[in-house]
Amino acid sequence: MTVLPRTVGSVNWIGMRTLLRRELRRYVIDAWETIAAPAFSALIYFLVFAFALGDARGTSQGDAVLAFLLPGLVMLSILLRAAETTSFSLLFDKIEGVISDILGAPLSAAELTACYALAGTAAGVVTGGVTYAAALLIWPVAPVHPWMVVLFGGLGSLTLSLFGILIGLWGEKWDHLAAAFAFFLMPLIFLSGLFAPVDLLPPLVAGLVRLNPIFHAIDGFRYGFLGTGDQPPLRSAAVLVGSSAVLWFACNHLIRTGYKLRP
Amino acid sequence: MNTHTPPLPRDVGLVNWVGLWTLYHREVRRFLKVYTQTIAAPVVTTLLFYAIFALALGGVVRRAGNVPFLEFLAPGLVMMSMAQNAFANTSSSMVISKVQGNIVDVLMPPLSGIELALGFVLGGVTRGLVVGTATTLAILAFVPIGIHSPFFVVYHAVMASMMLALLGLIGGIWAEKFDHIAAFTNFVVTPLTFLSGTFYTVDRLPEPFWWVAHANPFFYMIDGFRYGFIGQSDGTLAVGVAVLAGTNLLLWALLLRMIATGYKLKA
Repeated sequence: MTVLPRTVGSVNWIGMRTLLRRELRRYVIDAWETIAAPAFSALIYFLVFAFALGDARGTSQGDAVLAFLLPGLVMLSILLRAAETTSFSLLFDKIEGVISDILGAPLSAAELTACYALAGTAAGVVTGGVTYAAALLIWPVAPVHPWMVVLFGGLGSLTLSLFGILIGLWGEKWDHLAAAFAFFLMPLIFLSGLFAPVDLLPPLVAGLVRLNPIFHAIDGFRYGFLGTGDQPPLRSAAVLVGSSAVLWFACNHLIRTGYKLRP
Repeated sequence: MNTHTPPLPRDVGLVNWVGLWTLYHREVRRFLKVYTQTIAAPVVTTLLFYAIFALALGGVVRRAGNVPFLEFLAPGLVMMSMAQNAFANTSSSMVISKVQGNIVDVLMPPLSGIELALGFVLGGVTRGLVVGTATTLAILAFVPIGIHSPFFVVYHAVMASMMLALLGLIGGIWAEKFDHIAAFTNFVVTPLTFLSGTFYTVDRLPEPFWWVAHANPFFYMIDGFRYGFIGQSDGTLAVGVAVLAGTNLLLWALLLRMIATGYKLKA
């Protein structure tokens, strides 16, 4: 009598649920590092900016700066958490050699991409939510368009979790991960209008910044909070959906062809 | 007829210079080997901070005291990167050695507690000074900064790097896993560095924060270092010099006591 393989159907729901749950547990088990620390850092940044305003503190001009900064800081913790979750997870499994447990399971490349991306997105959104809740303690501000906040928080998180997958696939040791963050992702995130309006920049630089998908995430997110933005929110949403799609295909392709995953 | 004599231990003299140099050399090689992470990355991060504060606050805060905000900010950022890197060097070295178990290689050799501590701490001080110099040069490319008093620049750079290297070593000995040292960094060291007047003059802080700032030794290291460049300080300079010396002495005493009793190092 021969043992037949389990029939998994067109989508391996059990496998996806298992991988997703494992990725999320990984995030939750380290809640001090993955949730509390980013929220706490955001508060420190916020206080620092508030103090640095000096004489402008308490004036309408100073308040405008702080109102502008708050969505930026929440977005910063979303973006970093999303990218760290996926890149760390993949690289850790590669270095420890346990990636074979995942590659050996009957999960297609699309299913793997979906699980990692979803887990990273969820991690980013949860950390962002906690950061916002913490920020409410010192600067109570309600979003003007809550759905826009959710939409752009989610899209920004998705984009960065896909970036994180690419970094995790490409990296071979921790140095590579650190370098990718310090020299690629951090500049991309920080030079996206996170903390300052782009129209303050020289036109050429502003044009370049507007090409950065992360700029669109933060601009739309800020539109949700303040009701004003540099770009129409729909266009920003389209840019993010487009760049996520491109990144998704890249991740899917690399996982399918086994780039740095299979010998 | 056994003429065999057991080998005698090497006579190390009063100070084990060879051992001390070897440990120091290892500590320096540890960070030089991954210089993209340990030197280049902090420089890039500092420049990013600089760009952000310049852009976000440039229009609102033109001056801090009597100097342009950007000149005020530069020494603070240099000091911040020095402090963080001095701390990271000793703490990571100690925690990694403990977690991986090769701490015995450091505890076994004929090194006294003070030699052991010196090897690690000087390694951290070296990293702090190297990163500080690299960051200063990078910032100089954007803003011309003169030196008002070389003594204050050097004294505060060395004392602050030493203070953070000591803290890193103490934290590293205390920590049992990476989570512990990460928490110590995130919840103690980073807030103390950020809220110490790197980015603003503490003069005009609201009342409770003013007191907190003046009770924070990190405030004095940044304040004095900045005075060395721009010739303007928030606190009393002599107090700063004394606070740094005193804090370092206390940390040295604590560290040597920890090593002497084998706290979390020896079974």
